Amino acid sequence: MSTKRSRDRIELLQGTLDLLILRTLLFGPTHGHAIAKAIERTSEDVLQVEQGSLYPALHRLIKRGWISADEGTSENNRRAKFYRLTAKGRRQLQVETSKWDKVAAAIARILRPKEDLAS
Amino acid sequence: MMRGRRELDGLDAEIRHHIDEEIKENLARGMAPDEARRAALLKFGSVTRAKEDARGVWVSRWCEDLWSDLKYGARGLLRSPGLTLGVVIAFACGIGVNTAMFSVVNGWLFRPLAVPDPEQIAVLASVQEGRRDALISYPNFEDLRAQSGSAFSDVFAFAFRIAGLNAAGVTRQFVVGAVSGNYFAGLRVDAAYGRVFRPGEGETSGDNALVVVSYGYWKRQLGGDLSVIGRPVAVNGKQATIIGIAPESFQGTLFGFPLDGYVTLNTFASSRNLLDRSSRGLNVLGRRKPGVTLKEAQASIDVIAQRLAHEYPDSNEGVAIRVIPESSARPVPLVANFVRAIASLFLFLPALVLLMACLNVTGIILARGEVRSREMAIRSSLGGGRGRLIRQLLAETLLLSAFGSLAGIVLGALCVRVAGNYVQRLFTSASNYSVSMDAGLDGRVFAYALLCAVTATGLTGLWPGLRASRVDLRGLLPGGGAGNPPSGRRMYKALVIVQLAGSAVLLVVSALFVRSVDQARRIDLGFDPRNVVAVMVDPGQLGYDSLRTNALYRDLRERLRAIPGVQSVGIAQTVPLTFLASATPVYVDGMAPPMGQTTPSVSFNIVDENYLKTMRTPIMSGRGIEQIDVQSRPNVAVINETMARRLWPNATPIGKRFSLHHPGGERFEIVGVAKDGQYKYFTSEPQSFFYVPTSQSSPSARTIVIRTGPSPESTMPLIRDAVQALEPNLLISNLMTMEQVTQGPAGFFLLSMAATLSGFIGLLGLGLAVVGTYGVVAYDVNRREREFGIRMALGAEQRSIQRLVLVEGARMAAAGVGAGLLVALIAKKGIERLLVGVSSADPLIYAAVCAALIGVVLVASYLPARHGARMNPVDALRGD
Repeated sequence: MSTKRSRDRIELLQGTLDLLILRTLLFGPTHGHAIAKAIERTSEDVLQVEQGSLYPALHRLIKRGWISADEGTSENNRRAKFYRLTAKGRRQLQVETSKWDKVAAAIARILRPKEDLAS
Repeated sequence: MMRGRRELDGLDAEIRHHIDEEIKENLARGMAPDEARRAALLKFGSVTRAKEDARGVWVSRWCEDLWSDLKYGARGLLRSPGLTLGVVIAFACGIGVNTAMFSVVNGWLFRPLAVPDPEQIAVLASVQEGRRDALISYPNFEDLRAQSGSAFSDVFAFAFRIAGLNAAGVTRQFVVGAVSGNYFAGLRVDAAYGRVFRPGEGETSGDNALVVVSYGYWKRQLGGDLSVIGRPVAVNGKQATIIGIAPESFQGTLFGFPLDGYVTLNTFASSRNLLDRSSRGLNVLGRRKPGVTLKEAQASIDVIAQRLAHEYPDSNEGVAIRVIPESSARPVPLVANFVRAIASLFLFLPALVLLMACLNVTGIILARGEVRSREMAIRSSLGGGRGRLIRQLLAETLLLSAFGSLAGIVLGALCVRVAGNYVQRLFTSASNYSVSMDAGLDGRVFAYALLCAVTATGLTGLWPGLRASRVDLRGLLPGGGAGNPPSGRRMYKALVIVQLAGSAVLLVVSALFVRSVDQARRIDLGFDPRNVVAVMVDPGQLGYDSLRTNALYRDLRERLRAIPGVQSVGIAQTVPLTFLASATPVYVDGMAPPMGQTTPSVSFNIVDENYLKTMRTPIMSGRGIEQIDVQSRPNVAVINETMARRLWPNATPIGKRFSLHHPGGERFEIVGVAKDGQYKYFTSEPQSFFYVPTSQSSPSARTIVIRTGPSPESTMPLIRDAVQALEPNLLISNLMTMEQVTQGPAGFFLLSMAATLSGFIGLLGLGLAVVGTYGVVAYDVNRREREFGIRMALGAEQRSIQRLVLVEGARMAAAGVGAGLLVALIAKKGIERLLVGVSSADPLIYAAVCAALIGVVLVASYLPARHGARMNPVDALRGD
């Protein structure tokens, strides 16, 4: 179980999981479980990934050609699938990130008008 | 899919690995093993769903679901084989009729010429008041070709001839196109072997005559021997050289007749013909330049036609030249519209049948849907979404229509083959030239059949699907679902009414055609076809000159007369109802044609003194063509009643004179008036016609008519023998009784074909309407059992229940038939000109159709009504 309590956790928005996977793979190829852990850790356990949904997402990304999968050996010597960011995926990550920034900024402006921010 | 399979491989292991890692981590955090495992699984969520979703990335979920729907649907359909069979048969009939009719129309009208860019090919047809052929003279053709360069890359011409080809001493029939030198270049057709004609070749009488034979003729008649190229042959006695073999796919540009070969224009044409602007004998075609629209092409040709009319008013005044796409000019340019009208009618009627079949099936499926409302309610309560249920029903309809369509296409193809063989036999039977009835299945036919199938599926599946899935969970309650929503009954009634209306339209159209044929057969032909045999020969095919030709016909007549049972023998250029009579402008002394119009052409026949007697054509006044006319060549003529009425409405025509071809031409004195009749082809409109004696002209191709005893068929072999005994090389191009001729393509053939087809389609429609009405009424009575039970329990008699059902049936019949007759009356304009001697508003037909349909509906509702009235009210009330 996670250290944070359930009500502090946020369900992932549709489509953001893809972005997070791409971002995680930027640090190098890794396997499924490690991706899930990395997302949880780097978001300080705020973002909850239902781990099962990771796999369809990975397949979606393979199909789009943004990541590729190779057989490899995990840290504890078990054979596992390693996912790697492709050049196309790298470009896509940039596009998605800037898009995300814009959306986040826009939402922030709506939810918290300027004076609110100042206080 | 393949890629997906590789990616999905090892997904199980991967997920296991993932969960193991998670458990390990949890253990490291100090959880108990059980707890660690539980937490890991909880965190992962549904393994199945993860796997399914990952799979779904690669394999469309929709497809998989559809597959299971189909499997489920197939099981359901097998459980009720009767219903399945009924629906499949209805679909098969509907789609079969459409496939068959379309493949005929497609073969005749839509299939493009076997040349590159066929859509660029257009027919240049001369249009003139009073003339039905679109032919153009050689000098006019030359001007068109020389001056149309802005719109056409090539303008070329052909003339159709049935000739004799003598190779190595044997003369064989040779159906040819005499073509301009640029014919092949214009069509962009190259030789399979040897070469084709070059532009400009063979268009002057001094040049050598050249021959290109078709691939089929080369294989069949010349043994497929390549050494024929370069070999000298004789075409109708004229020396010529074979220079090449046309490709197998190319059969010429004459609609319906595959050509045996092609000869240069100078093979038949004398230099006079090539110079005479009023001797119109060429079919002219052109290849439009890419990017030139039909309108632009027409505009450029208009300019040339106007110039020609201005420069040569004698021959070209009032002659327009129309540019018609080749595919819209079949079978011949100026009757193409008529054929199109028939074709669209015979595409429309089967479409109506398909619509009725669809309504029929809709009724069945709806009824089944109501029966299945319980199943739907259960599935819905178990979480089946509405879309999913609609899809399930659509899948079943899809299965049904797939089987039905398949059966329909096979049925249609079979029908076309059987009918095609029949027609081919009919056309080809007694003549030596073959007709192509190319109505095979091709991509276009399949596309059309597919379109029909998809439309039918959509029409029949969606509506019941939408309805049945509007699930009422009360259907699950005991006795529920047996209610009688008024909207549902209205819909059933609408179904029946539309079917009856469709059936009424079909029946009216087919009755009109059947009556039309009946009327046509009563029209006076102007001759007596019974016990007359017609023999067509052409000694010109052997190279006979006119002297030898006349001598041959004289000898032939003597020999035929000597056959036992032969009563008389007459000789003429043509016989009626063979498309063959020629026509010429007629000028009457002191009568000028109206300004801006050329003199109308009149068809004529060249006959000997025995022709009119043998044919038993009555002479109404004056005398017929006599022996003296044939021997001493005075300029006499016998005209028919219509010509007399039109040219001399207020005077007796006997003794009057007219001249042929041009105003100053030889004058003919009218010596008699013959009874009106049928001439070139069957038509109900009176036609002008005249006869001149054979002394006037000696055409080499003539028809001998022989009046025999009561069985002309038994005389036919003797006639053949007599011809062959006289000249073994003479080809008999046609040997048939005049009664066969009257049934032929220029006679009643099209009408009887239309009557047979529309009669068949009408009966099919009627059958569908009967079954549909019976099905719906029976179903309705079943559903109303409860209501009837209550009525009976309250004292209604059996008879009044029966009356209730019957009156309702009669009401539907009246509404349906009324609507149908209204539609038929509105649509009558479309078929009016296809009819003979019948008004399309013929009250008898409407009354008969009305009576027939109402009677049929009453019978179809009587049986269920009796059933409804006979049941035991207690049973009905007890229900479930």
